Amino acid sequence: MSETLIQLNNISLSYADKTVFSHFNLSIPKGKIIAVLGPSGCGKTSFLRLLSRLIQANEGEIIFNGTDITKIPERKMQLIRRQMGFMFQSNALYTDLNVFDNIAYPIRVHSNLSEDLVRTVTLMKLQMVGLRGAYNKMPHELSGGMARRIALARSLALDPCLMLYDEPFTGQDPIGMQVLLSLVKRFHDCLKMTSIIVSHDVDEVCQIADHVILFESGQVLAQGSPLDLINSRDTKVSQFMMGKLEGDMPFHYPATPYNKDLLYDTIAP
Amino acid sequence: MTLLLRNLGFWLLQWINHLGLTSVFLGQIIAKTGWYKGVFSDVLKQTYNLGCKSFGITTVSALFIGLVLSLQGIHTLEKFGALSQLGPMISLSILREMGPVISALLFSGRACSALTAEIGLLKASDQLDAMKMMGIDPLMRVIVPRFWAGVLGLPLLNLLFCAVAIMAGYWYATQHIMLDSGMFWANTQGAVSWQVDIKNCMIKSVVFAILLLWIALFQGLNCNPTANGISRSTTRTVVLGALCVLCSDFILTALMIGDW
Repeated sequence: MSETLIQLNNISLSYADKTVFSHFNLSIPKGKIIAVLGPSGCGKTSFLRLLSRLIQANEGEIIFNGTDITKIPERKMQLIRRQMGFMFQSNALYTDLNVFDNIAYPIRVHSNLSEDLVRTVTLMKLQMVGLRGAYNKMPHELSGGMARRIALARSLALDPCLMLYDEPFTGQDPIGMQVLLSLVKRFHDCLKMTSIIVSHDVDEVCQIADHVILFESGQVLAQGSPLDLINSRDTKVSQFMMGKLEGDMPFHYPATPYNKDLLYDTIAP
Repeated sequence: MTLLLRNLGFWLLQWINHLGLTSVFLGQIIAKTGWYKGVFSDVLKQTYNLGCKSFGITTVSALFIGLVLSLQGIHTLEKFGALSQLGPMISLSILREMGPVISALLFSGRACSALTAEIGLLKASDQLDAMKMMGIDPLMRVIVPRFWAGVLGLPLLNLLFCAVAIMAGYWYATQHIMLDSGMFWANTQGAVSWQVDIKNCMIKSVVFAILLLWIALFQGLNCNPTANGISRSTTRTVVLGALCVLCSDFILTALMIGDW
């Protein structure tokens, strides 16, 4: 096993009416592409938000590069976040800035580069995602695929060592998906970073992932190489990886027994 | 009875908690006010958005309020043969009460509601989280410039409101009943004190601006990030803003009335 970048120890997280994680433990190896898979609502997005401390765990510790990020003040966390890139499911582009300024914004804030250099670096980032020609467009003028690539370029603006992708391939056409897959892989290799991809697109993400973690109800159901999980004999794992309709993964949200909710008794003659 | 007491206690605790949160929020705004690259352009841009874009509604409202005040003043004062006091009546009403209060209410409806909706949408579309992920503090870059832009903008709008309303009242009085303009201004000058009336007018306006911006920004930042949540926060901004302006106006007037 390679060096660990992030270690989650005994993490618990709950919202008002729902427990997402309870005494959760996980290690994230350095320099790998990690795919986090699992059914909707199993805590994948919450996991990414915990790693970046956009939400705070109720208990436990998250060690990132030797620092427990659950205990440090916000000002220190801001410095650590500069080493992280986050590609949001909604893209989260700044709607009142054009494409160029969206990418230039973090560079301007965190560096003392001259405007000429900022322009050069920004155009390089745009060139990497193939959208240099769209530098003066506003976010609402972009197609879904273009907006996704701009979001990718912006999240890489500060050359992070950890990249977090929240459903990066959702809603993409087959060509757009392959473009994104190759970009994610290429950036990962070029920048020698660690990438964590939360996705539902099992086939696509398994093409580039080194390690797959399968979540179910806030717990790790299985982890290993993509091939290990695809060939797994565990019925739940194989049901998810193969996308089978029948199996042990619950289809119904937990509820009271069916007959107790029915009004049949009261309306029956 | 027990249930009532329990609910009352729960409500009281929630209220105290809310009060604490809002106080911390205001403290954070003040603590995070500082220099960063582009601070002046951010504040100026927001002053334009909040202040300059409210020029139209403020000017038109002030115009009609000045006209109505003049009309009502003429109707009442001529019964007592005191038309010469029309200038002081209009000017003091506008400067002491109507100017700061009405401009604040207009500002709340025009600018603060938009501010809450804007911040709420930034939150709902993850733009604030995206900023955090770049190691940028949204409180410093988004909230603080808007707060100070509002605190700068509302007193200026208030001055505009007072000037337009008094001029409208003057125009109506001199054109409609041919009141002597010299008498109008001479009596106004004698009655209005720069040191007291105009200073207090500006103090009221600054206090209202702080209250309104505090409410609007807090509601925006703490809204439920859904369409319904943003709409409810926007409504709450306008309602709470109006109530706070009217309540604080009473308190400020009570404190200032000795000067008058």
